[in-house]
Amino acid sequence: MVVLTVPVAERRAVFKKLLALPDNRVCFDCPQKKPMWASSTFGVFICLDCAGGQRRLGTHLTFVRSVDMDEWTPEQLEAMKLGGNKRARLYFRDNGVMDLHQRQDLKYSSSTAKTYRTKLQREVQASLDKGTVLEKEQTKKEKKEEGDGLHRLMQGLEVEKGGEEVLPKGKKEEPPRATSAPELAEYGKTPPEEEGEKVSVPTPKKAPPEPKGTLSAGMLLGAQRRSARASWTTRRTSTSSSRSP
Amino acid sequence: MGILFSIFSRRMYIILEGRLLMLGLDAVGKTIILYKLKLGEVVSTIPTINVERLTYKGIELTVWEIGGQDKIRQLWLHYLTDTHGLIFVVDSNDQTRLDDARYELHKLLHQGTNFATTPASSCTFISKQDLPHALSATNLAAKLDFASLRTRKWYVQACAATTGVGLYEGMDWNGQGARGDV
Repeated sequence: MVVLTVPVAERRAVFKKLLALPDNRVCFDCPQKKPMWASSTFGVFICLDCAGGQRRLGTHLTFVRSVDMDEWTPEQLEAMKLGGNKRARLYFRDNGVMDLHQRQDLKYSSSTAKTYRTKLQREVQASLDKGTVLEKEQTKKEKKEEGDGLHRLMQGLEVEKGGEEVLPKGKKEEPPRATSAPELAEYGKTPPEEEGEKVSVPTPKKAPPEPKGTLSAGMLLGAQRRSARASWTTRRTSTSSSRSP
Repeated sequence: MGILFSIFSRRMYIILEGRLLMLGLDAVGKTIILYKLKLGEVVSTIPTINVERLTYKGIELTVWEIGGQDKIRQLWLHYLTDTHGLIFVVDSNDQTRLDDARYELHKLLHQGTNFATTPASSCTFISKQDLPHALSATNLAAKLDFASLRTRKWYVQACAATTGVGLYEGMDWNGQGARGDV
């Protein structure tokens, strides 16, 4: 079975941002600071002890996950982004649940909690549907921008390198190509000698031809690895092979 | 005299020992089951790794109970060596993660090469039977695909850890497994 989960780096980045918010720095159920657990059904951050309490209520009421120890699906992560302690507290207060530090079983089985849960889930679904469309557009834009950025960088380097002729002859000059993975993938299709001709890095005329073949191959490998890491990982397929004893 | 006495007592009382391993996804009730068996009361739990020694019907059982968070799950395999039995706990109330549970169980049984050589049995506790959306044990056994485990002895026991229903029946089977009867 394959479960799509958010890659670790991205998850960490999201939680770093979310846990920096002042309301998310305090547990939703008690006054304890630095919560490292979360309920993905309500989108709230909770402390370890309250996580233990919530887990006993059953997953039909609240689904508790660890911020750093569990894998998160995009839906759960979206719920954390859309929810948050502040929003949940305001909603609970507006709907008559004044004492937020009351018994967990009463609090999470109340009708207020139920409506908030369904509301949040609906919003998550809507934003994910929207997100898939947006993502496609964004990736298109990013590709364009990357191309532009590379172009600009290359121009900048051309200017820089025009001035510096004091470089020792034997030293390898790195052509400014290792910036983006898709660009490199395109380069990979052409033989390395042609590459060198395409990228017009002005070199002093007396300098011998640069040994670019090995360099570019190494960079290509690196870029492939980077792109593999960046792509969305499927937990099951990746781990099953590596876990053999 | 003391030496004689100790030899005599060792001959008289053959102490049976067994090592059990309790696994399962996160928040299925492993710790609650363990402490219900050990102390007879329901404790409040946090996600951890627990080790407890139980004496059940003359057998000393060391129960290792490992957390079920995704990161900790990768460690399960390393605890499998020299275990006499595996207790796998499944939350009958959480039907969305049944596939996850089945996947983890089968992967564990297929990957554990050390485990495969030892005569081990696996007992599955179907926990949280007292909750509203609970599936029955027979239903769950079919969904967890136990029929494909042909080389292994398995046993499914429905239970509710907070009330203690079904725990001792499961432990009976585990005890027999440790004794080598099953």
